Amino acid sequence: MDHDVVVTGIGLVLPKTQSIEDLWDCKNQTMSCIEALSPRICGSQIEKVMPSGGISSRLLKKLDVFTQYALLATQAALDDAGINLNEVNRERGGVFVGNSFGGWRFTENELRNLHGIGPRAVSPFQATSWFPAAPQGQITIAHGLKGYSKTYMADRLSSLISIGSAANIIRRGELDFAIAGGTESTNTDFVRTALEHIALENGDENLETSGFEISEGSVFLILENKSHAKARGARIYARVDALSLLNSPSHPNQYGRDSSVLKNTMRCVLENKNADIIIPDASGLRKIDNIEQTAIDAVCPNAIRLRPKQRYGNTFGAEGALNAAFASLILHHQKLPQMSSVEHEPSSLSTPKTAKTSEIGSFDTVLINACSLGGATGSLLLTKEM
Amino acid sequence: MKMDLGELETLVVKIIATYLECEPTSIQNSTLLEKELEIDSTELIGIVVETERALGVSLKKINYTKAETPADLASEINRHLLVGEVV
Repeated sequence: MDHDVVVTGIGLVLPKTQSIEDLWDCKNQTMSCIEALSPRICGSQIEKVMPSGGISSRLLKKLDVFTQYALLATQAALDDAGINLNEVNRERGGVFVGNSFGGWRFTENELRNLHGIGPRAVSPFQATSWFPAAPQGQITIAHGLKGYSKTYMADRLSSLISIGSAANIIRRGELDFAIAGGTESTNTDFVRTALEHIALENGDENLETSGFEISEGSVFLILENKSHAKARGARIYARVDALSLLNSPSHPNQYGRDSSVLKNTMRCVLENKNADIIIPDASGLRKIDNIEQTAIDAVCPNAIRLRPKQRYGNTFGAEGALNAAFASLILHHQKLPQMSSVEHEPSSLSTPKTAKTSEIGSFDTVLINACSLGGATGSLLLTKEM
Repeated sequence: MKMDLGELETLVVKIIATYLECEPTSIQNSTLLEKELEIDSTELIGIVVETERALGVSLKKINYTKAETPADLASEINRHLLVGEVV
């Protein structure tokens, strides 16, 4: 039994980004999707009319958009992996989803029906469409997967945990493959209002100048046992090395205030390795980012810092998976997107400079950080597949 | 709204067809809701609520859980309407 877990497929739905090519395209890296979403918060959003991607209109009526995004992204990931589900054991395929908010687009509409018309006007699908595990259920139904599956809710850490957990379970031999990632919809009045308060609670009083930007979408990876992937001749993007998680309880509406926790997660996952590239949490909240910068300066001061989300904003439940997708592409192509913003000098997480990529040799390790409200912190290490 | 059982069956079939986005002629009174149309219990609630709106009568008290066909559902609604008339 091979205990290595590898990434063999990537699928995504993000603002103005519906394919790996859209994500990786050098020109797109300089094109920000950020705009004012309300007078008090900036970010990016997915167009309201998007391709149904083969989802029947009957099913669409039952689903919030965060589940629709997840179904589209997982189908794209399966297609990218070239995995034929008729030729694998579906009892040994699982689904791991990160999500932070559930289905508020659907819910807001139904709450308006409830208060404006009455209880009988509320859709019978209200509960099942809002439920944060709805994407997991719909993905397993759509693809007939019956292996161990799970949904994780941990703010921006959610899909870093879903990927790390899926990899652990494959490594233990309980699954051959997994669809792992995250999905989120923030394009609703309720969620935006809640997020404005998060920024205020964490010390960014002027929301107009805060770097706390919000986004939405869905990113999923196909993870496989390496032997399973090799046996079917799959292309391998990267290897999932390890996930480290620590919890330093803080106020439920605030992030941790101490860099020691993050330093420990980074050191724990790196062991004796160096990180060639680091994709920081970079929340856009000043206090939190200063703490992360202190940790990065101490643990991997020479690592290149990339912020794929600078084009979109925080994608919360999909955040870790977006960063893992980006890391997988870098490790596979062995190059940085030419126009991607990169920083060598440890001056700021939020003011990137252009990298001198000619000075950089091979990219062997990418470290991804994330943290969540309440004090949980995590680091995921992806490495080049040898 | 006064309706005989035949008209009620036609209304139920039309509402199911609208929900499924198909032609009413493709659904018979005897078509099996779950086995043939794959309508689950949550979808059936939506169909009952749509029928309620069309009739302008509350159907909260009908027992639709044993309805296997549009005819069964129409019959149960009709029974409820008749009871309502007596009251």
